[in-house]
This record gives sequence, structure tokens and C-alpha cells, in this order.
Amino acid sequence: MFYEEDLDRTELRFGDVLRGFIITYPVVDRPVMDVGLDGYEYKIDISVPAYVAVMTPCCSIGREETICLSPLTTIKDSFLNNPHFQEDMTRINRIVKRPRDRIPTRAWEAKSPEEQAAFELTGENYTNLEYFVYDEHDSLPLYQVRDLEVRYRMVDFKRIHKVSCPNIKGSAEVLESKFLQLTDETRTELQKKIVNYYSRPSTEELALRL
Amino acid sequence: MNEQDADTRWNLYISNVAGTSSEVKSYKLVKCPFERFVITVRLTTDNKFVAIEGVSINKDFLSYAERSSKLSGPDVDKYYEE
Repeated sequence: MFYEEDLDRTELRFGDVLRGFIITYPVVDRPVMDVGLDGYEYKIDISVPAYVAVMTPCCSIGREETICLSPLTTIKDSFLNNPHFQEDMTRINRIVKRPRDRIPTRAWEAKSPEEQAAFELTGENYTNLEYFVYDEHDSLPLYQVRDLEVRYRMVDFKRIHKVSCPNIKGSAEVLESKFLQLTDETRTELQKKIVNYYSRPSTEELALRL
Repeated sequence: MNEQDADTRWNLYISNVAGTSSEVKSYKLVKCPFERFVITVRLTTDNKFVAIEGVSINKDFLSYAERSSKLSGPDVDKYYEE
């Protein structure tokens, strides 16, 4: 099961889906190297996503009255190019055993036999490293992806924002904003995938075996 | 029941089924870590060496970077660009 049937209204947890939070992010054209902002183009974008996911680890939620959130967005159309994912989009969250299942059919077929053989040797791995797909739930509105109607949502690890909220821990209003809660198993999947996202060694590290 | 017990019991079962219990010896498999490898050794029940059954990589021996690199295949994100 992807979501808990009964929400825990006593605390927020890593991966929880919330409603009603503001997301902001500054946009700059270049680093500000002077004192003051005169002469620099900048702006601050503000949005209120319908749903956000808690990206702060459970034990750190509420420390210094902050929480990290990422908006839940619609999935990418291109995920449908892969029949392995079309059957179940949450497969994107887990290690894919067969290398060929990590890529769209057309990309696999475009490879030469030698390239296919080399790709098969890469072994099991994650795919779409920066995304975690939230499973369909009756409470999530339907939307159209190509000719399909789906309720999937996803989190993009590149889009994690810090929100300051003095009442983030234990306030009734905050706990009421909880919309969905991951099961312990799903939360572990999210944890493993985000750890993998941050712990990937660079090419240089691999070469030096650091 | 641990692996060694299971192996011993299996050998006894086979010898009983085959009706050759007086001729078939019982063995056990023991895994011995050795540097980067785990060597599986077949021993008699009184710990006498019989054979090396196999050699595998000791995954606990891998460094964190080496374990990470096992999941660091080619980036496939380019196939999902929109």
C-alpha cells in the first residue's frame, strides 16, 4: 500500500502531502557581488501549489521553525514512452532490475546489438533519479496525460524549498493541512531514492575511487 | 535452523532416501571471508576439508563509494527530456 488509510494527526512525517503552503524562490540573473542590489535584475516568485510534499526528515521537522517542501506536480509525458512505467508509474521510485526497462522502448530499439549488450551489462539501477512518483489516490484530481486520465503526482528533488513556520510543530492548523501520508514502506523508498540522488559519485570520484 | 544445519539435514535425508546412509558422508558448507572475497568451503561434519565450493565478492568489504558506484550506470534522463 502506498498511502496510510488513517492519517496520523499528531505530527508531520517525511513525505507527507500537505495543502495550503506558499512556495517562494528568488530569481537572479547573476551573483550579487556588490553591496546592495542596485544594477542587478532579480525577482522573487511566489506560488501556492495545490499540494506539497514534506522533504525534511521526520526527526528534523520543526527545528528552528522551518520545514522543507516540494510541490507535487503532474508527471512527465515522456514517462509514458516506457511501457514498464506505463503499467505502474511508481516503478520509477525503485531500482529497476532489467537495464532495458529503464529506458523507453524506442530508445532501446534504436541501439545497435553491441550497444544493447553493453547497456545490459550496466546492471540494476534507479532511473529518473530526481523524481519520486506519488501513486494515484481517489482524493487527487484527475488530469490528462496524452490520451490517459491519471491521478499520479511527482516530486522533483531539484525543487525543494524552505518554509519558515513558527507553528510547524504540533499546531492544529498545520496538522489539519495534512492531506495524505505515506506508509512506512513507501517512506523508506522515498528516503532511499533521495539518498541515491545526493550520494551519486561524480565521474572524478569514480575515477579516483574516492 | 541455520544454513549448516539445513545442509547436514539435507545430506542425511538424501542418504536415507537413497538407502546408502552407511556409504554417504554428511557435509556442511562454511563461508570464510578472505580479504575481498568470501570462499565457500565444503567440510565434513567433523570439520575436515573436502573442497572449495565457490568464491564470491565480499560485499561488506566494498567501500561506500564502491557500493554507490554499483548503482551509477549511465544517466538515462536524456531519454525522458520534453
